[in-house]
Amino acid sequence: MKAVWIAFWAGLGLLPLGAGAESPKEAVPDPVTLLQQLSTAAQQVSYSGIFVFQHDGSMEASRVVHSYDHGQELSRIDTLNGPPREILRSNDEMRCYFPDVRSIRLQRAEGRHFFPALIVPPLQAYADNYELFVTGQDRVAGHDCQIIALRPRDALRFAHEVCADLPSRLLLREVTLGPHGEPIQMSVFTEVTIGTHPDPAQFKPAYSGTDSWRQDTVPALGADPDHSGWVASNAPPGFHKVVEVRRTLPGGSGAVTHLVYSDGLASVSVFIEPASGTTRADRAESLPNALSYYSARRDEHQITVVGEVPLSAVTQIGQSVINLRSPHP
Amino acid sequence: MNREQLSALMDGELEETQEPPLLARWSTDGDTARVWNEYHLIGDVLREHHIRHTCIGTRVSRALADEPTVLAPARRPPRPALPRWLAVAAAVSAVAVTTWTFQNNPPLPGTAPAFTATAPAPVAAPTQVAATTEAGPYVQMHRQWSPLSGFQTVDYTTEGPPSR
Repeated sequence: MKAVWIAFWAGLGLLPLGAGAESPKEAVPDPVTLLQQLSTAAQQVSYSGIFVFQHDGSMEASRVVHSYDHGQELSRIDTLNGPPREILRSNDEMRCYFPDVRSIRLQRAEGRHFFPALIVPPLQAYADNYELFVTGQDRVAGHDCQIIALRPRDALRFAHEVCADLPSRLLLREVTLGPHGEPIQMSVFTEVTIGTHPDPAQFKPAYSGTDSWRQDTVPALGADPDHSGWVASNAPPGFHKVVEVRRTLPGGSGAVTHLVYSDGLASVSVFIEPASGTTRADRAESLPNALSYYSARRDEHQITVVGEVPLSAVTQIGQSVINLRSPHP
Repeated sequence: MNREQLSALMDGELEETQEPPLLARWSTDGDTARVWNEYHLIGDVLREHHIRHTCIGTRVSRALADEPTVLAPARRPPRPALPRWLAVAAAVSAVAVTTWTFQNNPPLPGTAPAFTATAPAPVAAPTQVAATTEAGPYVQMHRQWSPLSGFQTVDYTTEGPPSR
């Protein structure tokens, strides 16, 4: 097994020397360095496996294949239960296939990252908003891994725990912990092969005749993240807008502007829509599964905020939503 | 007995100065302890947990009173119970498992507070149910964009650039 790893490191030769030169028996690096290695590994290590996402008493299993070769990053994710979904990513370009509705969506991968690439730059933001602890080791999908605990520095987010494969630093498990330390959601590999280059044929779409499918393009957030003018002017420290998109409510009952704020781990959605004839009572409530919900009418608009964060966070975000382009802010 | 204070204590919202007298009353006044237990029971029913309430409290208290005091070092809190999930999850490879319960875990207090200092429990129930229903579509859309979320919910309803 050791020989395999030596070959892996020698062959890869692309990770930072600091990580490569280290033997597993050496002292564990500090948490920020570890997170840096996790972030790099998710991009630069080749792997394939099956992972599950568990939340709200349900579970979704997906197969993932990832390859990194001479700076070229390719990944593919297929859902294994529920409606079939296929996500193909080539560097920064992402194509999602929805065979049941004969639809393809194209978008920039920027702002959209999936397991196991959950730790993303800027890494200092994690240290700013969470206390980081390198706590111990565990075993996930047959691989020894290093646990890093992220405990929030304020009452505006929940704790997380990640476990990263020891030699490769690939993230193998992420657990979000509720206010009392109970797991509320988890993504975890159930089997994974690390360091083997997948067959390039695996990155071809599984469906043919997709020319006749409906094709949507989601524009990049790019240089104008506040295109709509809507912002949360007082989001908790470290939360930044990562998504701004216009979409339809499930059931097709009307268009809403959807913003997503994230601190790198927790994410909160803000929805803005015209306040229609039906008036909804203003609310700020904790929902099952550590979800918090805020809804209030602001002049001609209904502001709705949802996220796996404490109630105080959605309330703070919701109350601070303004439109920068509005003549009467 | 002040039910409002009791409810606030449950939510961890009682002022610190009010806690000691209430806790003292809780330990001596049977009514207070009974209402406390009832509130928790109602909360658990609202949150649809498996109800395991029994009248064990009084028996334990009595047994404890008879026990000599044992001084022992504090136990480290156990880490969340993961291994059993993993054992089960490992069987998943080729599968269509659609539901799963967090059977190995304690009730999720994140779902609380069902009570507030001002609203008594029975009133809180319809509100939370209404909020859950109302929040449904938004929760669904939120999941579609959460980096931690699954992919079967990856949406195809995007319309395009946000309008001004």
